[in-house]
Amino acid sequence: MLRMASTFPEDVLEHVFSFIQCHKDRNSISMVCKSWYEIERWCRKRVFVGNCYAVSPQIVIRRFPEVRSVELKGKPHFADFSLVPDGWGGYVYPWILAMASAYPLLEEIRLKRMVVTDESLELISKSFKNFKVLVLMTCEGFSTDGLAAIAANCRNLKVLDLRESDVEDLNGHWLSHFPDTYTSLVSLNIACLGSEVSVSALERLVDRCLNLRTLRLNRPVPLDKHANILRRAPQLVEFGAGCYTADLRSEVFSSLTGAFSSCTELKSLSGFWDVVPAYLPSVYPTCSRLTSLNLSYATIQCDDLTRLISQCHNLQKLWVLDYIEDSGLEALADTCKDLRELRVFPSEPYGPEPNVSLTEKGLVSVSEGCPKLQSVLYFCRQMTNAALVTIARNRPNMTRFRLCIMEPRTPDYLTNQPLDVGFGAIVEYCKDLQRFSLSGLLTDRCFEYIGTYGKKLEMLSVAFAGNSDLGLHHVLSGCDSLRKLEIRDCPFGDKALLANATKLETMRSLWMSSCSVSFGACKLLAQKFPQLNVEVIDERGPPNTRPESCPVERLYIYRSVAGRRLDMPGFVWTMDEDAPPRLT
Amino acid sequence: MQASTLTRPIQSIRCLQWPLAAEKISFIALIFELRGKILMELQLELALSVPDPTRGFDLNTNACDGKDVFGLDPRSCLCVESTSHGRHKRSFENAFFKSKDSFKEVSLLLWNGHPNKEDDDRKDTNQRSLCPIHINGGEENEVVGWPPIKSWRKKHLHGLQQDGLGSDNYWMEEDEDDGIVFNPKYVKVKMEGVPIARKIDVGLYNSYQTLKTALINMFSNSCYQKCGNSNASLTLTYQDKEGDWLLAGDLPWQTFLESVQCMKIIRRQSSN
Repeated sequence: MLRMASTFPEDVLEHVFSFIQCHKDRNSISMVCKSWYEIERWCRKRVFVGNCYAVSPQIVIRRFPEVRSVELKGKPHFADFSLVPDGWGGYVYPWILAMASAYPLLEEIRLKRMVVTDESLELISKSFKNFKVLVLMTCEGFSTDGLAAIAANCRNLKVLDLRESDVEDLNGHWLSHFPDTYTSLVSLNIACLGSEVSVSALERLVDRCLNLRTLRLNRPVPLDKHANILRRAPQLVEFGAGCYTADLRSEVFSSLTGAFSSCTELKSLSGFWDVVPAYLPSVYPTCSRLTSLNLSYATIQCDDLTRLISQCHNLQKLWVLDYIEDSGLEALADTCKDLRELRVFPSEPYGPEPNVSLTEKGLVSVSEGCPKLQSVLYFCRQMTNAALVTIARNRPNMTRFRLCIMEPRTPDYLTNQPLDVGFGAIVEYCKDLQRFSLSGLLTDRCFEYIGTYGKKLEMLSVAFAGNSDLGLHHVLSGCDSLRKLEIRDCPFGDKALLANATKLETMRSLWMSSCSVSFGACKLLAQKFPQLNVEVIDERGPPNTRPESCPVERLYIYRSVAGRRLDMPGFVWTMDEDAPPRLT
Repeated sequence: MQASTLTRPIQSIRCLQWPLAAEKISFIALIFELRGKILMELQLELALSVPDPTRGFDLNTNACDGKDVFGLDPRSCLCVESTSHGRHKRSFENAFFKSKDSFKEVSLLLWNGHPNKEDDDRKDTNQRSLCPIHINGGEENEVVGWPPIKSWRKKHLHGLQQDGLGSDNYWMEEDEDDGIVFNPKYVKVKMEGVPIARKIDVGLYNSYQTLKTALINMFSNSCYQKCGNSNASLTLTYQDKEGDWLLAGDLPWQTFLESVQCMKIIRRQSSN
């Protein structure tokens, strides 16, 4: 291999490598030989860090000096569901600070579940001269003042996407900070903002940015402004409506219908907060073109939804509330033969009784009618093994399957049996399953199926399941491709964890909360596996004041080449307190 | 499924590939010891129930009846004394299952499970007794982070359920241009004999007649038509702000809109 590599001039190899975008492939290239490693690191333009504590910014910068695009992830996934206390960490500032001097040509920053301060946003806006893309997914810690700095200083900004971030709304005038000469905007998503934005500033921005393709408005943008905005951007491909409520007036309706008709490129719709059903037909002109529809914030009852969806023959992705009911899903199965992704969210997750008629039957219909379906997130209140087996047989092409039966430990409601066979069938038939979330009554047997068949499984979420250590042992010893495992409220403990400790070095992270892992086992793990950061999150105080056999509240284990982190709050403990921190 | 795939000798070999530094050997021994126990249990299990791969998952076979797969109390596998570093440790039994009260101390979560029939039915699966979640009749029927709905979406849902927009600073409240103030008012409607209630925005209707027609359509669309097809036999009642149940139709529409809290459609007794 060395000889072959030396027969190619370096720049030829570099050119060849430039066609390889996939992170995994780039990693493989760098493992071939020393010279490939060298060539690859100098021409790597994009870096993805799945856990910001797995490596330090200094290590990344040292190895990849020419990076243009960085993607970082912070908190564990369960932070989405309030299982990670505030102040846990995931701060982006040290990264921005390091990159500001090392990567003056940086163009893209994508962050997920990170704490981003206004100071970080200002530093971004001033440090990178040709900055183009800022995506903040489920981030927090910043305000509209930080966004104003980005608007004012990033002259070449193409993408500003704040999806599902928690932004402190200080004022709506930050949009006015885009200079009059600024014209490069391609994508703007402000759907998560709570406060009003200046509609006139938005209209002027839309007027001068002729390449705008994506615009997702927030809830306070009133309905009568929509037609005007749409008419200024007939080139839009993705549109997120704001508040879709007003007294029914024929002129508002007809101007909306006209505006939607004029947007002939439109492929994706979202938003529609507080929608009045009578206004829904205004989007009918776009239906036949739509490939993506997110109505998961729109309270639309079954009949209106069905009427709408029956016209969307080309739909590939649908997010919707459970108001769609089984009958709406049946219509979906009849109409949308191209559907790949379906998410059904609960409208009243905490109500003691169902408020809609959405059962396992709806999902079975879609699995029968939509041959391309490969990604499912489905919240419901009842399920059967038979339904799951049918779904698995219908759709062996499924790669992501997340089912949430809302009451923990719900058995098959027809047979009163655990759902082991049903979930087992999913993992057996769907050979390419990568992401899997379980719910309902499950015994260790289900985990035996997962360990046996889930060879490509990369992320597994488990809650209120299993009977013993054996369940966890099956997963850790069986799932060869597992990268992320998150478990809550399961009777899994020390034995399974310690017996499969080497597996943890091959994974990105393991989360266990309200399980049976003892503090003693955590200490043992940390001592014997210095590459692992073993963090105990316990808000009751130092875990070493309790007996070592006492189970820890929450446990987060991840591999790291940066040593233990230094920004831990008082409620997080690492187990190797005596060991010196390993810095770069 | 073959025994060899489950017992994974390959994993054991991987253990041997570690750098065998002196201080690690005792740990490896421990791992082998633990693994040995798990393997023994596995083999026991395989001997008890060998799923036939050719049959796949046959629903008719009683492959998973919720009983403990070892034929033993599964707690027994948690009771094995861990002897790492030669130090004597308390058994899991002591640590976890001493009493209900110790659950309370170790548990992170509050989970309100009022005793009911279903719970009783499930107790014999010995799930409950194993899990370190304690059952508490406290908080509002909510487990932290369950169902797994993103906090951001939850905030939005919460707004929906607060009869209207949930916040005072939305534009509708302050729109002075044409005086339009629009507040959706979501009200729950139940129909006698139908297990699933609906929530509707009463503000979308302008008379008792349109409301009744819409409700009848809504409920007859669902698969529960057994409650009688004749519209005349149905009566719409509602609960006002004082909590009294009244017949809909007696008060002016606007007054009704202001006072209605929830509605129920009842079947009129033909004998009366």
